Amino acid sequence: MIKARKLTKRFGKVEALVNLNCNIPQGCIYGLVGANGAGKSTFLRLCNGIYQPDEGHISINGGEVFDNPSVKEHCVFVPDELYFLPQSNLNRMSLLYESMYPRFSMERFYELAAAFKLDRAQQLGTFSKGMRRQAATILALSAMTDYVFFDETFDGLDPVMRNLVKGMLYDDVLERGCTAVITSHSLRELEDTCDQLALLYQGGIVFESDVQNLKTSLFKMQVAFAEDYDRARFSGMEILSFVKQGSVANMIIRGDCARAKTEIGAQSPLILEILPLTLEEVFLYEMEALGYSFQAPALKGGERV
Amino acid sequence: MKPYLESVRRLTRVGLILFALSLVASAIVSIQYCTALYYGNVPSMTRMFSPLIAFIYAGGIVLAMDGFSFLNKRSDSDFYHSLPVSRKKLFWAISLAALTWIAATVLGSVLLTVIVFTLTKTPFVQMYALVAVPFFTIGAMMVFAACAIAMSLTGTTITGLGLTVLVCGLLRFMQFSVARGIVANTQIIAWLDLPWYLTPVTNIATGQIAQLLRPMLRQTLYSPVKMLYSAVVAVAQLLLACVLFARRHSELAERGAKNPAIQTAFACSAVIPVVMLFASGIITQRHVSIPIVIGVAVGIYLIYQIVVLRTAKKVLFSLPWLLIPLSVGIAGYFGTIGAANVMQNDLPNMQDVAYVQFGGESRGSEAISYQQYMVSKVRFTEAEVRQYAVETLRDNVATIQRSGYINYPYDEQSGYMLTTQPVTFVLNNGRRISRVLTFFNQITLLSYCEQNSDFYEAIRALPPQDAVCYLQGDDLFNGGFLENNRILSAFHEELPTTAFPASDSYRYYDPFMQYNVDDEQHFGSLTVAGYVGMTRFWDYYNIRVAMPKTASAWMRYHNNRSKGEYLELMQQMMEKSAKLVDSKDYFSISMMVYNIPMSDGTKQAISFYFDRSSYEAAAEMNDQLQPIINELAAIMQRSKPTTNPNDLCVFTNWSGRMHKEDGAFYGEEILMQQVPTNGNGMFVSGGSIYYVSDGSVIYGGLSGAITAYNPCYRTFSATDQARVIEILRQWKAVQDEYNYTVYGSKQENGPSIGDASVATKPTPAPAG
Repeated sequence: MIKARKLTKRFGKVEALVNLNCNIPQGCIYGLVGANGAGKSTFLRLCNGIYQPDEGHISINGGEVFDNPSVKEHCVFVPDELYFLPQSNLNRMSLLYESMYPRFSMERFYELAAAFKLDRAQQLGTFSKGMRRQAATILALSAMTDYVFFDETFDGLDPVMRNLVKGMLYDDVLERGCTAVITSHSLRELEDTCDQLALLYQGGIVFESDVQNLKTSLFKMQVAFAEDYDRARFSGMEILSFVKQGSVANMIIRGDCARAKTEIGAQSPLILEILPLTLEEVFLYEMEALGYSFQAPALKGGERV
Repeated sequence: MKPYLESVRRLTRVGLILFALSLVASAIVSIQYCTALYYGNVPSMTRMFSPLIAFIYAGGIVLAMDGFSFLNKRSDSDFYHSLPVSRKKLFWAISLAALTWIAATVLGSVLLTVIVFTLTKTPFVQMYALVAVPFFTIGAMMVFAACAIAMSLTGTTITGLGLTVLVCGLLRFMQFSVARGIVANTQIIAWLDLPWYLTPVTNIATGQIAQLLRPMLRQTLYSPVKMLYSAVVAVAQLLLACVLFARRHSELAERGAKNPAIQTAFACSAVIPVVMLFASGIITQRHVSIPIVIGVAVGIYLIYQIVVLRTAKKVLFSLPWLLIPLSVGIAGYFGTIGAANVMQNDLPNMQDVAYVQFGGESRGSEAISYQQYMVSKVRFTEAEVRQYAVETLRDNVATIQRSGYINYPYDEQSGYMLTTQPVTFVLNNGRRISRVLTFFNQITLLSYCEQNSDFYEAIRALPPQDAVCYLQGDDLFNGGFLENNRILSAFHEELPTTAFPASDSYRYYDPFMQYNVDDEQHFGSLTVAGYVGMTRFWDYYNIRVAMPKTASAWMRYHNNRSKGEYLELMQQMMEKSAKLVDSKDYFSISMMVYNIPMSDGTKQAISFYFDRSSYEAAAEMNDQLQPIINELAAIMQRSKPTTNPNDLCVFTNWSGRMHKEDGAFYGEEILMQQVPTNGNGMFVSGGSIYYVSDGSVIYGGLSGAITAYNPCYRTFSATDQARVIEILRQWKAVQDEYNYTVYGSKQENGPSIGDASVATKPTPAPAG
């Protein structure tokens, strides 16, 4: 389990992470989403012992990470900017990984390289950006660590390869109980991959939830009544957002969808429709409910009020 | 082990390049040296392994830069710091890998050098090969460690390199500057006399640069003590680098320094060397003014700060910090002068001095004489020596304080027999004070020293014959060595039977230079070179009449090499010199005549010379001499080679350029023969033997000049001998007059050349 308590990291006057707290359980795929500069990469670097926290602690399986090889041997990091030895190929890099990671599996390395159809003897410098990401992923997954950290890794992969990597990740999680922590600035990228999601905003995790709960806890309802009405009509429900134009109102409601439908249906609405919410919308509304304003451009032609 | 092997693999690329370059350079330098036309001694360590001197710096820096290159790039730094290996372990893995490559390169280069020397049968000091491996490895590791410190403190290649120079050399440069100031200010303390904390060669990495600037330091650089000290420094530097590496913030990558304060500290460090130049007196006020020094210091500081801080406001705010290096400069200036004064006035009392030692006046030379090496170990406890040394020290200091420098004007009574000797006073409490003293009378000093029996033996000591590698320029593997060795063996046999020291450096100085009388007449010097342990020696043994076997072997040696003296040509050119055809024609002859009977009953060796040219200063006198010289040339045709050092014999060198009346050159056949083949004028010298590159002993130059080398020692029949002595008497009279007229030299009232009744002595048995 990865545990962060009051984790703070500063770069000069810039506070990248401030009093961050989180628990990442073992055997899950944990997604970390946030805008550029939110602190995602900093968090991953702290998780991998690259940075030393200015304040607070971060531990994996109960051990502090920084400069602690016994903990770090359970972690492998695939950063946003990849590193390969100069003029090296996959074979050479596998030797580097093998010498550093005690559980590195050459067998798996050969299997993965074959699956990705990468030439192990070809210089990595001649690889495309996507191929280099595949190479880094192969090496990381061959290290057979308990924790794998991907920083914006899927961004450079084509859909086929992305699915291939995801499949491998699922296998690792299911078969070995491995934990994967993935960062992205795109929720769509993560929503069908992760078990848990957290939103990092201005150096802190402002929201963290199970993806399945998140998707079912909020729903969007469109209603219209013959008579005039306002938000107070639905006082028994937890409404996160209420936008009315003419007689039609769009509501974001937290709670049991069937129960809400029954309750409003009993009031003879002219229109009653349950609309699906994307994970992104769920996030935005949850954030808004928490009081975070992103000052984002108005949605849907100025509907939000 | 795995991280270490991985680091070795990672450094393979630059390691192999350095290895190959070092081997190629070592091979080229060695082959070049071993195939050189002439060298008279085993090479010094600096000469033998010069490519490795460059490797100390190139290897150390390049391997550190490559090994820790990941610190300068964010992505690389992240990768390495994410690996499951502790920072300390990672540091030592890289450092040990670099050490492996450095040691392998040094070992490979040394082995290759030894192989080249062995295959080409070139003698060398075998201990050097053993010492070179740890020496250059430690040196390179010192530089590596300095670079590792710099890399741990900065995050870019440029700042890393700059800081490497500062880490490696700032303290040593300050020390060097202070030492230079003390040497200049005291005037009686040489580089070799500085206390250990000021000697620039204790650190063998920076010591290499110091020895290139001050070659005398070379003699003390390659010592086990300095290697040990440097190894300790290298380990300390590595430990510091390890701590810095472990504490280094990964986010420093791609940034010059952690913050502006550190950056300002770097800028101040960069300014210090400039102000120290002024402070130490290396640059005196005669050459540069204080405002210029301050101006240059400010300029360097501003340029550095503008580059790294980038905003005028920050640069301006950092300006007050410039006062720190300027203060260091001022402190250095007064500190150096103060230290020099203290050291200069450190004058021991005679009763405090346990003994004194004499390092030898040529101790800073490439190779010292064996006798000097032996004398340097002698401890003089004799009261007279200690007293004379202490008094001289006090007198020297008083003279410097009075006149500003050592100034002993010529004194006719004393004969101006000054001698400058490095002296070490060892006090009763064990403290050592080393100074270079100017003794007023070298005969007095020698007479005091000779009271010491160890000294008496030391100046007569000869190196073991198996330690000799070169004789007259012939090395052990040359045929000439065996023949030369007969001379040396005879010298070994005969020297103890005489009162002469082995080296003339330790003989009593004769103010009237009357060295060529009776037994003291000398035929030349036997050049002997070799090594004992790590010490190389280069001796000259004068071959005297007092050593008849040696002298006879010496004469045979020369006579054997004198193939064709062209005496007829000499006679023709000499006769023609009375009337020169061309304005550039000339003739010059010098003759060393031995065993000339003198009016006081002695036999002397006297040098005679005769020069004719269009520009001669005293043509009238030469006209007087011409007939008798011509007669002597005719007698020379009848002379015979001799190996008897007691014979009245002559050793002649001549050269000339002479046209016949028809415009042809004298010796045309020689010129025709040699110009096409030896137009480059290459000579091969073996001791005092000279050959043209085709092996002959006469050289014809492009200008038409002919030079004859390697004459025989020739003697005359009894009849001719009487006439020769008469000719020499007249020649000397004219020569003395010529010297008096042309050069204004003093007419001396010494003995004149006597009559022809040369006392005969039995011919000694040939040596060998």
